[in-house]
Amino acid sequence: MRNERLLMLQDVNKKREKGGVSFTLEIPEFYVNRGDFVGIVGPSGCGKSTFLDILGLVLKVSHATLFSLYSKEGKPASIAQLGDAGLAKLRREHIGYILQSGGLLPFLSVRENILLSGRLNNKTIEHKDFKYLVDRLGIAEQIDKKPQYLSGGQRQRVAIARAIIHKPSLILADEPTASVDRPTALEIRDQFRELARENNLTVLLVTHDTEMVEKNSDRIFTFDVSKEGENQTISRVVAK
Amino acid sequence: MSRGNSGKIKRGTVLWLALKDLRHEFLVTLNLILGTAAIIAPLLILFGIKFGTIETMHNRLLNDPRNLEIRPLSSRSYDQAWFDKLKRDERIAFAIPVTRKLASTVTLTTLEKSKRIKADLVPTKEGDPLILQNGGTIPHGHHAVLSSESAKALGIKKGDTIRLGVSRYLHERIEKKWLNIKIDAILNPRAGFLKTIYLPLKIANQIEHFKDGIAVEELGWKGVTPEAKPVFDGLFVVSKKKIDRVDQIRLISGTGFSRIKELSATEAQKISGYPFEKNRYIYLLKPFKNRVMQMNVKAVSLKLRGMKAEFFPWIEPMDVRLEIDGVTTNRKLYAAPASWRFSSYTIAVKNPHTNKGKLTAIYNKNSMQIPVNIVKSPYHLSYIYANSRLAGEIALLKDRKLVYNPVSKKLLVTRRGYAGFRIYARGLDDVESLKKYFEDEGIDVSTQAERIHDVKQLDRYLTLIFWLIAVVGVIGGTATLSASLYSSVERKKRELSVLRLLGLSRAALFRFPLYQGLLMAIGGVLTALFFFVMMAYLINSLFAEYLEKGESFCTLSFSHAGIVLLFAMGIAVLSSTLAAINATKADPAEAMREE
Repeated sequence: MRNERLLMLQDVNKKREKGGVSFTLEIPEFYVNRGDFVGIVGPSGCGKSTFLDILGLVLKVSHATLFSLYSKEGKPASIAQLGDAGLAKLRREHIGYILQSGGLLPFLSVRENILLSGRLNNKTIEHKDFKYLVDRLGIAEQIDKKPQYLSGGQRQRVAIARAIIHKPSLILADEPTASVDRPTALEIRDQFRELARENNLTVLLVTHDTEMVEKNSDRIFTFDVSKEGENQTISRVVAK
Repeated sequence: MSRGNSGKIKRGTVLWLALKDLRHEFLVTLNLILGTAAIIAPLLILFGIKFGTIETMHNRLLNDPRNLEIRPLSSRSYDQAWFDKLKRDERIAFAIPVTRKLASTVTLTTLEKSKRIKADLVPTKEGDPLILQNGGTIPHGHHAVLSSESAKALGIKKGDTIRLGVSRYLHERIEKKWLNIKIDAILNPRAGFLKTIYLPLKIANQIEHFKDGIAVEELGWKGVTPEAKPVFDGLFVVSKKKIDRVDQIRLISGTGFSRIKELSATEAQKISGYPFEKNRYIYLLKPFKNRVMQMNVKAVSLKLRGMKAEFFPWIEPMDVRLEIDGVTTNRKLYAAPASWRFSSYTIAVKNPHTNKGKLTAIYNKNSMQIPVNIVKSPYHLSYIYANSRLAGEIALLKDRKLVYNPVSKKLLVTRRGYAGFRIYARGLDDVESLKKYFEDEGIDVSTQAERIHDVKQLDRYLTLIFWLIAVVGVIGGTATLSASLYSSVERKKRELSVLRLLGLSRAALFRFPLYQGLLMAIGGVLTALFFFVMMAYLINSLFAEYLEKGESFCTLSFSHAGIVLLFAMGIAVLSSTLAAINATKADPAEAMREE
């Protein structure tokens, strides 16, 4: 399972311009195998967000020799050629997102937020699975509350539950503990790591918290930033 | 961990999300629903008043059959064919002939003759709306329905029997006849303020016949019998000597004929249907336009005195059907010459097997049937020859309807036509078009068209006023809903981005504000309907004293509520389109940024 390829990027780049300054993110080679816990670290402005948008299937790349998501049978889906509806479908079915601020919908209760990914994928979530998750994450008493009545840590736990309940191929976690205090962050980090191991989840963790990444990740990637003259910055994704 | 079909979003998810969001922002939603209701409710009340008022006036017009009635302003003769044509007119609900005014004035008395009134006789029959919609039943036989004025004047009630008297002045003396009539119903005063008795058409006919001096056998009233008088199309004059031109002119002068033509024997046979004796001079006399009557024949016979000439009335051959022992054959009918000396109602055919049969003659819509004696034709031609009187009577069928009376064993002419009519249009809209139709036919009629026109005009003006106000309301409502939904989408851009990130397509996000607009429109209409029902109840209670049972001053039908709902939903779709387009612009990448 560990050597089963899930995501593969080869010779991919994305060019962006802002205020007359050109920025290019280059990804010579990047892959994720099923069950991997991959960490991505880097300082602000290194292209981490752009890389995250590409991996999160919300940003189209400028060039890609290979950018594929593999099914369990090993069949590749060429992401670079997909349109909006195709990307939306891949996101819905294959990716679970854990966002920095939780990304919960304020008009849904905790229960509805968690079960939303099942609804969106037309899947019926078993009650025992739901109960297992909320119990493990310690949010069983909050399930009928609206997100606005939760603490930051509780919101992140709900976001984790929503991201993994429909068992997606890939969990994309963007600074999942950045908005909570240190003790809570550590607690969430441990719970998340345990859940990932128990359920053999494939996780892409993007953070500036090198300690968290180094402690948990199978592989770590970072960014090699170089300035080409006054107005051009090139950032290359490299294995640490 | 989960089961189901992946690939498609669960049906109704976007609607569920839209509803959840509206519920989450309960106060904002309530504000918008009440705002929508505040626009719709006054429009509903305004339309309800317009509709209720017009509907009440319309129903009052429609429920009173007098408003649908069409009466001729002057007398004329309307034959059965004219009434048959009316039966096929979709705009007409009921039509009945009316007898002459002079023949329709009768005397009514109570049985003990204590009270006596003069009343108008109005014929009626099945389906008469004037009777049926004013609490009456259609009378049959010697039964009648009375107007309330007649009943009041006589002091009688339903189920009583009265006496109906008719009189005529004939042979310098007054004759009076009485009939006992049972009263089946007294009509609502709304039916009319005159003293009227409604009787079956058959009795009205019999009374008119009596007044005209015609015998009414069924009632034992004596008088003349309307026997069919023979008419011909020409007259053959056959002479041993040639008639000179001067005598020819004498024959057509003052005799009712206008043309005389000398014919060869062959020509004459072709026209008459029978051969003439040899060495005879044959002349055919024809009138210009009219039919030849007995007096014309007699006038010619007087002028032929001393000329040793014979004459034979002639009719244009007619198609007839002869039935003998159940076998029917179609033949041409000719008038036989008087020299054949047939007895009355006798025909001659080639090789008859029996001496009795039934002869049916048809001319356009007129037909008659008569039992005839059959004799053998002196000629081997496939024609039917009738004695000249019978042929002349049958030829009358071209002008009049005939009927054979087995009692008197005579052909009688039926009535030519009626002096007037009573017609009811099917709907109010038909009254005006029927009025125009009759006027185009040269018949001046009296209707309530102007009153109907006034109600329609009022309806048009009120509709115009309603729409002017409605347009302002709709524009305001559309603008308010558009702005609210657009700002709502702007406020929720982040949530919409999250939904996009979680896999909702642009099309699904387009539906999000659309559904919210529709839900608020439905909520607004339902709230407005609730207010309308309360206000309508209040208005109708305030004006109750002016309303009859079942009438409303302010009301709406279910279809109106449905139309309002659909209209509001249409406006909601229109209002939310801009917001929906804006929603599709929600970027999933935005969801991944820190707030």
